[in-house]
Amino acid sequence: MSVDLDLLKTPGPTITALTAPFWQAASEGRLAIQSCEACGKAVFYPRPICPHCWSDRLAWREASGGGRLKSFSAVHKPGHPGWLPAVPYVVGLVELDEGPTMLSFIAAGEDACAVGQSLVLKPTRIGGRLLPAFKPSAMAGSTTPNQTGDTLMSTQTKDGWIGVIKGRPQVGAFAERSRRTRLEDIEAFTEMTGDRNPLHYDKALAEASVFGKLIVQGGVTSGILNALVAEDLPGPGTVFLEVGWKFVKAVGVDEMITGRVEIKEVRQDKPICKIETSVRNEAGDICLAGTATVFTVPLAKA
Amino acid sequence: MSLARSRGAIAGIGELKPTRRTEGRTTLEMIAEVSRLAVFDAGLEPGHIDGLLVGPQVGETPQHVPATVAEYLGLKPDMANVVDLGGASGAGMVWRAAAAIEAGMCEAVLCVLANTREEVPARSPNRNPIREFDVPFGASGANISYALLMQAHMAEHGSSPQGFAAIAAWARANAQRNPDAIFHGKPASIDEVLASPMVASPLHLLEIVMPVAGGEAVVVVSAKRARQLAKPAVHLLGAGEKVTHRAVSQAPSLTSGPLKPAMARAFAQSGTRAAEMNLLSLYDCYTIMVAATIEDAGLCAAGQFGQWVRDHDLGPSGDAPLNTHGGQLGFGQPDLAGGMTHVVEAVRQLRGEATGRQIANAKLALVTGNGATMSEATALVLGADQ
Repeated sequence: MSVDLDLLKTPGPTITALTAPFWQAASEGRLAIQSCEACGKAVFYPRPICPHCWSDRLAWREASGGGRLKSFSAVHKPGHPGWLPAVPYVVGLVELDEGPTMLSFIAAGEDACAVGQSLVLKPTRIGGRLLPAFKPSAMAGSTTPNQTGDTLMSTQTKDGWIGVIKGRPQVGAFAERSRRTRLEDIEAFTEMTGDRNPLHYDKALAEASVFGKLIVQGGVTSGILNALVAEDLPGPGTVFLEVGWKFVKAVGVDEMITGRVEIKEVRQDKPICKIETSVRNEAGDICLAGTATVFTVPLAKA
Repeated sequence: MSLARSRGAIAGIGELKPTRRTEGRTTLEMIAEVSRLAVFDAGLEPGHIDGLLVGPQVGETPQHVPATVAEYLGLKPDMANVVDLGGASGAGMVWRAAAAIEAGMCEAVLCVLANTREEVPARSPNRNPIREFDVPFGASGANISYALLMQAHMAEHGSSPQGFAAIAAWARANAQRNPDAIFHGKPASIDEVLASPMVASPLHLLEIVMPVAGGEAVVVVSAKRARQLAKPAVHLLGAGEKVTHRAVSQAPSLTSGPLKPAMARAFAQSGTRAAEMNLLSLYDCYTIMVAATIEDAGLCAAGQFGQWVRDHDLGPSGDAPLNTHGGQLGFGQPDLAGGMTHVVEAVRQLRGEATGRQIANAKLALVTGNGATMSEATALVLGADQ
């Protein structure tokens, strides 16, 4: 599919006052859905009353952006002629992490799709609008196939990795590290930062929220990646220069999480890498996904 | 004067304060608000409502009105209807609700009417949730929805494209015994079905009904009256109905549909079982619809329709006659009348009038109807006059 989806003359949404927050969020690259303050269930599509308990106390919440592909179809003969230039394109049923299912555009080829696979939000411009499309999370944060380490490689022969304790890493190298979250993590993080969000302390409130459980601070989840880069890959001396992380799914207390980093690009002239990062829970669901740029300070004694 | 026997009772009421204008609001929103008032006034919970009667003027949605309203409200009614009697619609709903309850179809019927009133008329005649939340992503029309159901069945059960194609091939084979069928003289093999163009994967062109023009009608009278008339009576022995959603994204299951409870009710009312049917007159807009119905009827285990089709002869002289008129896949789909072809063929077979394709000694027929995307379901068990 080489066509520019943004140039398609496809029908846009019929927005009303009630549904406007969804489309406003969509135009900003976010996914907002309703949440029932009475029964705690997430609601999609937007309504004035909760379809589960008929309460009228519905609040807008940011969705995690994570989901699961319940089914998909590569459309060869679209129902609207505006889509003809894009065939075959893929639509899918996305079961959001919050519970409800929405139909969406899947920004991937049919061959890259499988029922049951994890998806992440991939805001995509279609027909002149930014829409909340999705893509397989295996592709999350990855660079486009033709964009390899070459883009960052210098033609200079100078080796910027001299003195780095573990030396220059190879593209494709990866490391993993697991640990079990504990209540003490929350307290330690609060001690450190002052973050006393009730989602981390008020069990009843947290269980009634979209998360359905007490959750650890995002910093506890991403912290495992600090350990990975500093201890394993690229190793001692490594600091983050830039991160782009999506917190796709909340992590609760007493959950085994596994962090993973993979080297995607390595600069020759400086000890800088681009890495792909993820944190998964015990079920294998992606909780955090994204990329980072790291700098490894040369600490080896000459 | 003595009181007549009660034929039903009104237990809850709701009313919205009248306003001159409702700019930016939808009828569905207003239906939701007034329904909430009535159901809570009755001291009921939404889960108690198993019948739904609505008016035709839900501005946002020209078709599938009860399913759209039910899905919006989170209801899964066992009886759903549009009542289109103008100013008599409200009163007309009340006796129909009572009749449905007395017929054993449901227990608590929500009867609701609401309207918007805008200075500037609606921009689009179609502003329902599908139009707003599916169409912008590239999903318009039923083909894509049924392709999604089919893909889910294949993923969950490992069912093969050949299994689905065999249903289309049988429909074409049976159509060869019906001179009126649009595909009379045009059989299609499993390979030909699989070689037809992909419309929306994994759905092939020949697994989809051909739209045609046509018409179908039946006349219903009392059993007593029917026995006094010219033709052999064909009796309604049991019925069931269920509406679970409108948009495929909102389906409670992608591999089992509302026909499952609808058929269960029809079998229970008639004291029959699926295996006793002499004719399976199953709604077949797409091959996946027949596959799901065979499984939901309990003719085989979930996921096993392909083996079931291989193991049986679906022709009129076979051990499991299915859609002897060719089904809509073989006969053609005259829009809404297409569903009625399954009723008309069942009556022909149970009267012994199906010349050239008569099932020997046909006593019982299962007729199914299906609407939207495996959303709206009705099942009938019909019996020959004994």
